[in-house]
Amino acid sequence: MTLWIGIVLLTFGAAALALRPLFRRPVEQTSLDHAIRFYETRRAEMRRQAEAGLISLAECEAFEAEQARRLLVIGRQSDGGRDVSLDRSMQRKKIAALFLLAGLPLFAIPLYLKVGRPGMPDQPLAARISEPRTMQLADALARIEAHLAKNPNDAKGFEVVAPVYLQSGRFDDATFAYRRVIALSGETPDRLADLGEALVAGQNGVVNADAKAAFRRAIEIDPTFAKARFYVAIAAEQDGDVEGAVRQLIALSASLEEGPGKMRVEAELDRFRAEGKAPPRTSQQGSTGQAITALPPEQRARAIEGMVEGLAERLRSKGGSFDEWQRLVQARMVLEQGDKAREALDEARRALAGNAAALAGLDRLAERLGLTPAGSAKP
Amino acid sequence: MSIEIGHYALVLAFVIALFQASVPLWGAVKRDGALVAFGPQAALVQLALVAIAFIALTKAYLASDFSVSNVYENSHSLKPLIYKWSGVWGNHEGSMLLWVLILSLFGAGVAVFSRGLPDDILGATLAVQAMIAAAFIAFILFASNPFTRVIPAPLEGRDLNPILQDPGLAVHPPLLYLGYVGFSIVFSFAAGALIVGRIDAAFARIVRPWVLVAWVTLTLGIAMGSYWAYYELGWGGYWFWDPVENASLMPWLTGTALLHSAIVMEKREALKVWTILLAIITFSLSLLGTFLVRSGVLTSVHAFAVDPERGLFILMILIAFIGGAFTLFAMRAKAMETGGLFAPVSREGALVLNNLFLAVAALAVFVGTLYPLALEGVTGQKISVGPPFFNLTTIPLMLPLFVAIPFGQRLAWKRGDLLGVTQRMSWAIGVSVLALAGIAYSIARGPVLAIVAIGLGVFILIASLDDIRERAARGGFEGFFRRLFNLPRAFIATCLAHAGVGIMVIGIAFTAFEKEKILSMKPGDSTTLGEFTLTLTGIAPLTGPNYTATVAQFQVHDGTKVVAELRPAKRIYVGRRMPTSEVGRHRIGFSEVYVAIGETSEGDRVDLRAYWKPFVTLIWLGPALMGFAGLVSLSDRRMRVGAPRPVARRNEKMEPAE
Repeated sequence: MTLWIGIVLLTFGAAALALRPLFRRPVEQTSLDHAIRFYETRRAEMRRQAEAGLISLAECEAFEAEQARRLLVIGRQSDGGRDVSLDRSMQRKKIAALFLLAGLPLFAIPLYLKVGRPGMPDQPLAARISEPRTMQLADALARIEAHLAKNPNDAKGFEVVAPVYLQSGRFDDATFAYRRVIALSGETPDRLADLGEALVAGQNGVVNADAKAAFRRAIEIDPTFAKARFYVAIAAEQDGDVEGAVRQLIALSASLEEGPGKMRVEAELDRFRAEGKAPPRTSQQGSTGQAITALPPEQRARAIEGMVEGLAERLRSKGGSFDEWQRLVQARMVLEQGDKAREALDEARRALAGNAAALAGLDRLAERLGLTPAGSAKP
Repeated sequence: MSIEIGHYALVLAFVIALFQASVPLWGAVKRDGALVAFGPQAALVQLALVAIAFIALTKAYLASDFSVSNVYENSHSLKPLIYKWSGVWGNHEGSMLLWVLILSLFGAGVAVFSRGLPDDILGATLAVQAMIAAAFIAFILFASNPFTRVIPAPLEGRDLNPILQDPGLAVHPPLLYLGYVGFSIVFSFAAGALIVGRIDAAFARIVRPWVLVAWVTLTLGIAMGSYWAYYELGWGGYWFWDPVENASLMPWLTGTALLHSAIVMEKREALKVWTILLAIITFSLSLLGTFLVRSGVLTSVHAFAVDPERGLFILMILIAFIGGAFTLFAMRAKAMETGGLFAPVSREGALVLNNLFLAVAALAVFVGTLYPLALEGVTGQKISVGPPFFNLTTIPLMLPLFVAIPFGQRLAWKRGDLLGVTQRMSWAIGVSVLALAGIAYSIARGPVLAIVAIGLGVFILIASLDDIRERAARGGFEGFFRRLFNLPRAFIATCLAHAGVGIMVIGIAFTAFEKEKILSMKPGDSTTLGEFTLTLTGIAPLTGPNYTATVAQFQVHDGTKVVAELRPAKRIYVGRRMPTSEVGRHRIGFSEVYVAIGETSEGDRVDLRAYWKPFVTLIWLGPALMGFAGLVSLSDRRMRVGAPRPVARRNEKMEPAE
């Protein structure tokens, strides 16, 4: 809409400005006037130069004589006046004005509609970055989809779109894309696991037979492939084999180095531990754990305390997830620092305020560990 | 929304230009001042509209709006701000928009500064100018539209051609265009005068400031381009006889001729036919240059738009305007009377000589540039006309012209005294012969032609400047300073411009004495370069805003101490994965040490070219002085069109003192 207001303003603004001189009274001047003025100027300049001593007086006079001759010739050629009849002039002005007023919009707007894109807003990059991410992805996605429609055998293209589908919740499309990738470029553990993950996501977290088959196939190719083993363990739990699931997860955790993968597995194990279905965490788990157990008892205690303090500091300054706060509280209890555990619990409540599920989890944790809130415990 | 507004403004400018091309012309024919007055106003409106379009495109570049195809093709969000600005005209579509902007700027300039012009000439001139503008806006709208949109907008642009990411590029094209397009207004004046049928001294006087403006900008634009090529392309050369360079040189040669012949026409009413012809030819060559660059007929660094359809469109414009102008010329040529007579040895004669040489030089460049094209078109045979041809044809033409400069400058109008002039220059001649001998002695051996050329350069420089002293000293020492300050600025400008030629000649002649080393070095290696020792101290990677680079560090040692550290680099731009070289230079006086690196092999060896270039900067300082001289001339009182009164009054005041 603003565009059309702009277009109308521009059109009539331009027309009004351009037409203005048509309705001003013309200054009567003939070409002879101009010629006379021109030669006068030149004569004056010559005089100035002669007076400044730059040319001789004789030169100056010769020049003036020549100028006078020129002017005579022009005077003879010129008809002296102009044949402007005011009526005719008025008529011409009206025609010109009419053509301009009508012609400007009648010509310009259709031409613009032909070459322009009136409905399309500006899209500066800064504004687009602050838009929700999916909007940007959608743009890119549309282009790649168009490309894939024409080149259905472009494995690379499907590899690019598949994770985008997965992130934007289009699980069926993601599944299809991963299947295409596998069909076009062959099976690898990664691709199979990705396919399985897409299937699981599409089933609200349930590992169905198709997904399980994909993960199994991945493990066949690479028996140490963690992601597939993780999902197989989850599948075991969903099939009712909790013990088996826990066993597999512990084995998996032990085989992993410290990192996000291990944390994910540990988080899952913590879920089982909280329900008492898994043995408590032993210090044999993890490489750091092993390094610490190898230390003499005193240093070990100091090292563990140092780690716990580090975790507390980090959570205090940068915040953290429910799981992390839970780990801190538990660690305090293990170190027999009941007060600090309570403190941590309070801090966690403050930090996670607004997250109802996390607060409920903290309450459960407090209950299980026998911790009443610091304030209310006193009386 | 601003993009679409800009697009619409351009469409509107097109329609306005169509009206401007017809209404004032009608007024000129009917001698109706009111209709003519529509012309200047429409020219201003047209400028405003084109400016809106240009600002809209610039805004899209600054905001990295990749929904505009042109921005997507030629920009990148990481590009430094200055190149977002210059990127607007660093591509075909944007540069055509700049072209049209400058075209309207000149049209508006005529509208503002030439209110005192005779109605008929003003009307016809603005109409012709509007025809050119309409043709080029149509070209933009239908064949190379910078406002074309992309749906959906891509996330990142494809970046500006890296060799164009340089401050020089921000200045070079606008200057060159100001020059090219500046001659459009001269062309319009010529066509206007032909239409109206009045070609006289007044015409020359009206046109001269515009010729000067165009000439100054074209001179500076070419010099800038040459300087840019020198330090950015890394070849160490300043002129390559590249077809596109030639395309800018041709209008410069004829434009320079025009600048001189217009003087004769204004002062002596002679050379009228020739001046009008030159005005037409100069703009035709500008159009031809545009056609050559834009059509992709020529392969060159500059040919960033290879599209036959566009070429055809420009070819049509070219044919229409050049053909139309020459037809008009043929119709009116007979009616143009010949003006004042003059002896062969006179100021006029010297200027005719100048025109002759410049025109023939332009013809030589024209043939050398277009002959290969024509041959390929007719026989399919591919040949390449290189620097040897141009050097062989233009240098012999230029040398006598250069020799004649100081003579012509001193000859009187109508009938001159060659012997007297030579005597008056004896001092300058003596000094240059001494300089010549001194140089020959100190260099001892070297190309004779180059040494002679240096002497010639010194001669032109001294003789041109000495003219100022001579004129002021005429009539004794008394009143020397009064006369000095009263000298017309146009005269001082002449001397300065010719001195600029001398300076340039010296610079070019000294290229014969440059030292060149092409070798491969590893850190710790040294090489000698003239009196200097060049040591590679290290090779290091560097990350810039939108490129990664390998930087080589050199120390320049002059025998006693380290005088400079150079850091030439090889850059790879992220957007286009294209390498460019950054040259390391150190200036000593007017001379330069110049190092460009190539590939780094085996991680620790670097290929490089190193030069010692004596007096190389004079090559561009000369033209810079010429351009400055043009501005001085433009500030001369004679150029202030339509201000006769104050001059007349001052004249009256001074009379009683006589």
